[in-house]
Amino acid sequence: MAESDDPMQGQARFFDGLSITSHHVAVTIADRHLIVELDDDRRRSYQIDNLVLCEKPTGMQPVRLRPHTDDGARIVIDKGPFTDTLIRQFPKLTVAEGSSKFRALLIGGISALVACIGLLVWFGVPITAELLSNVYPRDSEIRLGEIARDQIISAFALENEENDEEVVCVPNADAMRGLDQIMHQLIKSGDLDYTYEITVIRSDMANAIALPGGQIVLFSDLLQMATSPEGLAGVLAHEIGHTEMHHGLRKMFYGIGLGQLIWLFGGGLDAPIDLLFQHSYSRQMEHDADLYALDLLGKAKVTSHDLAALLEKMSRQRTRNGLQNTIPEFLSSHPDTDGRSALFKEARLTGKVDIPYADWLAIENICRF
Amino acid sequence: MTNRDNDQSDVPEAEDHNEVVFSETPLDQTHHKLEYTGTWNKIMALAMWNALWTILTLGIFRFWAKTRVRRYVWSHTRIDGDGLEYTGRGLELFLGFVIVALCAGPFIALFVYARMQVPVGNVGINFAIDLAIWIPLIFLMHIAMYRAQRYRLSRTSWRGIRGHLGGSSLKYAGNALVSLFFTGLTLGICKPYYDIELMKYERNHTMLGDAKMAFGGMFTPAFKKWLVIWFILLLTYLVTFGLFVALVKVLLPLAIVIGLVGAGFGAYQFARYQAWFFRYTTGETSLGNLAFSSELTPKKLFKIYAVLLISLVVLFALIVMIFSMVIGASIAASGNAGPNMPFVFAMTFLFLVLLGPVQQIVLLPMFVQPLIAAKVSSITMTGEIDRFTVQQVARSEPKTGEGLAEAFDLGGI
Repeated sequence: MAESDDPMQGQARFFDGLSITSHHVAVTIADRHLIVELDDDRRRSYQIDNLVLCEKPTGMQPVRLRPHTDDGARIVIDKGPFTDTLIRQFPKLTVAEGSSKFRALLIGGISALVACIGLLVWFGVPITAELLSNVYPRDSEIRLGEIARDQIISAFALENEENDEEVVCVPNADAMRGLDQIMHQLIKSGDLDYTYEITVIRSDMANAIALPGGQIVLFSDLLQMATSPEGLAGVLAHEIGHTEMHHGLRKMFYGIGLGQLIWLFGGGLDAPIDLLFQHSYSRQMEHDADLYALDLLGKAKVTSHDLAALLEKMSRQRTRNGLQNTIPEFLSSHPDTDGRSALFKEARLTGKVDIPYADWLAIENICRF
Repeated sequence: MTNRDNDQSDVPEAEDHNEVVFSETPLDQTHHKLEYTGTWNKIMALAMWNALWTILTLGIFRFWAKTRVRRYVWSHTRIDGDGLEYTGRGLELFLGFVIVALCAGPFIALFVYARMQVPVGNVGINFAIDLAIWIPLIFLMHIAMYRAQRYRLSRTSWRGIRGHLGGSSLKYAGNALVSLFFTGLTLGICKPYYDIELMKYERNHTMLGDAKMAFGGMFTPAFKKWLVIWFILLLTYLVTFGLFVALVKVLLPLAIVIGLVGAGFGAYQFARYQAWFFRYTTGETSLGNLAFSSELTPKKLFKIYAVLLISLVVLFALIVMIFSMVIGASIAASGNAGPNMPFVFAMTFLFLVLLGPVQQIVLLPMFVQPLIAAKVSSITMTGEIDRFTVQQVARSEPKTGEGLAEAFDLGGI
C-alpha cells in the first residue's frame, strides 16, 4: 500500500485478537474514530476515546493501540506523521490507568486509604488491643508474665556472663519483710486484681518494669538511688498501675497490630514508623500509671514527694551521663521527667511507710551483699 | 531437543479444538533473535518517579509502580519485531493484596499466640512450633509464587494473544516441599532437583493462546553440572577461609586480597552454573513448533553481579558520607561537642525511610534490567514463525493479582 501524504491517513499492522497473523491495513482518523480498512472492503471502526495505548510511546517504538475492553485486537502503527497527528489531536489517548481522571481518582483513593489507616492506627488498634487484653485469660496472662520475667533474667545473665555474680538478687529476711510491708500498705488501700511478685535484678540501670500478671522487676541501681521507702512505694504504685490497667498486654497487642498494619501497607517498609505511634501510646500509659500511683499513694497515706525527688535524681544522673534532653519527647517512651516530677510534687500527699530503718537498709542493699 | 513429556491432563477440553496450525510443507528452519531494547536512563527515570510517589503515599503506590515497570520491560522485550505487552493494572494488584492482608490477620494472631505460650528454654516445643509454622509457610509461599506467575502470564500478550498458566498451585507447592526436603537433606547437593522439578511443572502448563509450552529438562545433567560446581565452591571457600584465618593477624592486606579473590572466584563459579542452567533450560523449552536456545555466558552474568555490588557499595558510602556531613554541620552550627539529637533522630528516620526506594532506583537500572536484557538477548528462537498460527483461547483469568506473593514480598518486578 502506498504511503499517503494526508496526516489523517496512515498504514498499520492489525492483529484481530484471534490469531497472531498480522494484517497490513490502512488507518484513517475520521470524526473521533479510527477506521481500520481490512481486506475485502471490510472495515472496523474504533471510537478513539475507547482506545488505550499499550505502552507509552518512546523513541522510534511503534505506537500500539487496543480497545479499552481488551478483546485482543491490536493496531500497530510505525512512528511518523500519522502517529504525531493522532497523539496531538487526542491528547487524552493514554495507557490504561494513565488518564488524568484516573490519576485524580488514584490520588483521592490513596489519600482516603491513608486517612482510613490513620483512623485505624489512632482508634481501631488501641480499642482492639484494649478489648483483647480484657478478654485474655487470666491464667495465660500470669504465665506470660512469668515467661517474660524469665526471658529478662536470661538476657541479663547472658550480658553478665563474665561476672560470677548472680543476676537475680535474693532478699534477706529483713529486706523481704520490708518489701512485704510496703506492698501490704499499698495493696490494702486499693482494690487490686492481681497477686504481686517482685524480682530484683542486679543492674546499673535505675529502672523498674511491670510485666503482665503481677510480675514486677526492680533493678538494683534504682533501690540504691531511692533515698526512702516512700520513694520506692511510689515506684511500686506506678508499676501496680500498669498491671491493674493491663498496660503490658495492651502494649503487646497494640505493637503486634500496628507493626503488621504498617508492614503490610508499607510493603515491608524498614522505617520504624510504628515506633513513633508506639511511643505516643506508651507515653499515655505512663501518664495514666502516674495518675493511678497518685491515687494509690493517697489512699495508702504515703507521700508522693519522695517519688518526685527520686525522679529528679534520676533526671540529674541522666544529665551527668550526657543523656538528658537528648531524645525529644515525641521519640521517647516516657513523658518528660520534669513534668512527671512536678505532678507528684504538686499533689502534696503526706504520710509514711511504716517499716523499721534496718529493713529499709536491707532493701537498699539487696544486691550489695 | 525437547522431550514432550508434559502432563496436560488439566488443560480444559474446550481448548483442544484449537490446535496449533502448522504448515504442511517441511519447515524452513529460521532463526529469530529475541531483543531487549530498554535503556538505563529511561528505566532510571521511571524508578525515580515511582520512588517519589511510593514515599509520598507511604508505600501504597507500589502496586502501580510495579505495573509501570512491567509495562516498560514487557514492551521492550521484542519477539520477531513485536514487543510483549503487559495488560495488568495496579488496581488488580492492590485488590489482590487487600484480600490477602485481611485474611492474614487470624494466621498472624495464631502464630503470635503460639509463640507467647512457650516457656523459656524449651527447645523441643520451640522447634515443633517452628516446624509447624515454617512448613505451611513455605507451602503458602510456593502457592503464592505460582499464582503470581499465573496472574502475570494472564496479563501478558504477544500480538494480542494472551498467555496462560494452567496446572494447580497446590501440586506445585507440594512438589516444592518434597524437593526442598531433599535439597536440605543433602546439604544443597540436590538443589537442581528443586530447580528442574518446579520449572518442569510450570513450563509444561504454560501456554500462549492455544500453543503449549513444553519442557524436557532432566535432573541428571543439571545434577552433574551442579555437583562439580558445588565441590569447587566448597573447596574454594575452605581454602580461602583457611588462608584468611592464617594470614589475618600476620599480613592483613594480603588476607583481604585473598578473601576478595576467593569470594570473586566463588561468585564466578556460581555464575557459571547459572549461565549453564539458563542455557540448558532454555534449550529444553519449546512453544508449539518453535524451539529456543540461549548463548548466555557466565562472564556476562558475573559482570552484572559485579556492577551491582559496586553500585551498592558506592550508594552506601555516598549515603553515609552525606549523613556524616550533615551531622558534622549540625555540630559546627550548634557549637557544642554533641550533635543536635532531635535533628540526628530526624535524619536517621529519613535515612531509613529513603533507603528502600533509593535502593530500587539503583537496582532497576543497574541490576534488574541488565539481567533481563542479558537473558532475553541471549535467546534465539528457531522455527518458521510465519507459518505458526496461534489462536486465542477464551478462558476465565484471575481478576486480582499476586496478593499472597505481595504479602510474602515475592512479587519481583
